[in-house]
Amino acid sequence: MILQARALTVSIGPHRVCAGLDLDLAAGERLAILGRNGVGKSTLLATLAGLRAPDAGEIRLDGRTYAELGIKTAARLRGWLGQERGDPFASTVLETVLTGRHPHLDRWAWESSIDKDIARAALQSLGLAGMEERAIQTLSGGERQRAAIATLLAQQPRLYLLDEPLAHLDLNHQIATLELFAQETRRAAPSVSRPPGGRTPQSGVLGGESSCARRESVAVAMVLHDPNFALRFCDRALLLFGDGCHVEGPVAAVLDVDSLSRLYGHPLRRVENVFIPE
Amino acid sequence: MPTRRRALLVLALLVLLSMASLAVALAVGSVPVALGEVLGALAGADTPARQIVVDLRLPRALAGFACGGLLALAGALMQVLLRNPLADPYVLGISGGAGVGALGAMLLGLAGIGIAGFSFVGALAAMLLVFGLAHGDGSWTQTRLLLTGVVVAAGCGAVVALILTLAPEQKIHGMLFWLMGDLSQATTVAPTLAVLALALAVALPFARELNLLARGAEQALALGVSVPTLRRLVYFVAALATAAAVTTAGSIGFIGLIVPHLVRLAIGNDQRLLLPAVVLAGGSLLVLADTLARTIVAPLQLPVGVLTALIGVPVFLYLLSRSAKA
Repeated sequence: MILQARALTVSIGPHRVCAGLDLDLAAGERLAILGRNGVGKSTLLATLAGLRAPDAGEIRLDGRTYAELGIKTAARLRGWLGQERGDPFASTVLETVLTGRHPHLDRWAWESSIDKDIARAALQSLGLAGMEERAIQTLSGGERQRAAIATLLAQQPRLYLLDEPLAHLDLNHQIATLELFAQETRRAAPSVSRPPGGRTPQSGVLGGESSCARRESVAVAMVLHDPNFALRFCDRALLLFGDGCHVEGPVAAVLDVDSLSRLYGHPLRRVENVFIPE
Repeated sequence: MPTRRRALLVLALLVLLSMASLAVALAVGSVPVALGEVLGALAGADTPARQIVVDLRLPRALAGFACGGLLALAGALMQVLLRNPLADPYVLGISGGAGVGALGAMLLGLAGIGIAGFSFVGALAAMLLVFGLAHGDGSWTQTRLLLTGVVVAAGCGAVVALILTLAPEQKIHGMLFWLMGDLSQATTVAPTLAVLALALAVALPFARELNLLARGAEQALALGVSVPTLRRLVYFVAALATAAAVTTAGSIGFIGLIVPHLVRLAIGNDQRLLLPAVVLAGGSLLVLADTLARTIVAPLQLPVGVLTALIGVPVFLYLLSRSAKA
């Protein structure tokens, strides 16, 4: 089990995000977190990422708590995509993506050609090949979002925690990004244990076919706003209702008209004859 | 992204620049000394120029280099800590505290080491006050820290103005010189150089983590940086560097703001290269500015802070208008 949460209670000030949440995310699984604005999706995700402490309960990453793992080991296991994109100082796209390699580098080490290859492959898989030397501040909102996702891929974590990964993305790149993470998790190869702190040589971030078998399979939890994407690209869904209640389970079981209407406070209807991006 | 080899090349060039600036500072003045004689005097030859070079010019040049390096380093660190390109070493009120201490000492009739001691105590007091008020567990937001610092600096400014108003006529000149930054009083340079070496030695191992901190605290935390610890460390290194520089030479302006920006434009924003580079560039710039300050209207000496500001203001405005277009 990559991620385990037990009896997790999370609050923002007086607002209860969830209470007594039990969550198990195995390798190869994708979880969608759905809920209205301000319900605490990002807060829960940051809690799962170990960036803020829960009010109660326990989170285990690969069987160990964040305290046991230590901050640097945790960074090799889980990656977190935040919503904020601020770069007050100029830097290139490649430099930005290379920051994802930080947890894999020793204190005095400089990024090697392997690290640069990993970063370039990540950029390529996000459709940003050729933009390596562009200044990050000159990129459009969607391009910056993809550069941030590429940074996360360069980190090569086993658990991806994505806060609105589709923000600023056009339809084409929304699908491409969801497909990308679907591919990452679908790779149910037997897990090959990496030496702690070491680097396994890989042909690319998402790898060609040859590297598939050598990669550990990963799990993804992402905050989404479109229940259709959750249905199509995720195995499980966690609905946060805003009153501290939650529902979690396989998408086919929890995503229905009644629960989604209650979730968004707006009546929904299920139809077959709609335009769905293929 | 500089490779390690390019980084070493850049640093080697800056070391040459530093040595050249020191050589100019030792050779130029009311009594010009030939470069050969300078080297001879440094090597210990008992030439007539020895007293001028070794006893008068060398301490001042080294003090200028140390202060310039300290201010530039503190400025670069503050800009990362506050994630604000407009931050400088004085933005958190440290020079204000030092100013209150130094002017208070002058008001009491102290001189030399007394002024230095008082200004250092004032700088430390301002540093701890800001740190405490901004919730000094490292969990502060940049805005909170910045606002606390700015308000403390404003308070210190008011006290400085009060002291200037109350001070007797004959002391005003010295006070104004101190406030504008002045290296002519700098005699003991060993402690300042030691602080410079220490500050760089403490900051450099964390350079790559500073790169991440500059991009945002939460992301840095997610990538394995102990953000609260790092922030406290950066705060204290930058504050001590500023306190040491201000104690040695008063509030020399603009080095801490301009030099990190100039160096960033030339070599990018990788702190592993930027931090040592700003030390060398800041040191060289202040040595050259001070050499100008004591020669252009010789025998009169200008406060070096006036020169760095006169050079710094147009350069900075130019950079600002350029970055606005980019």
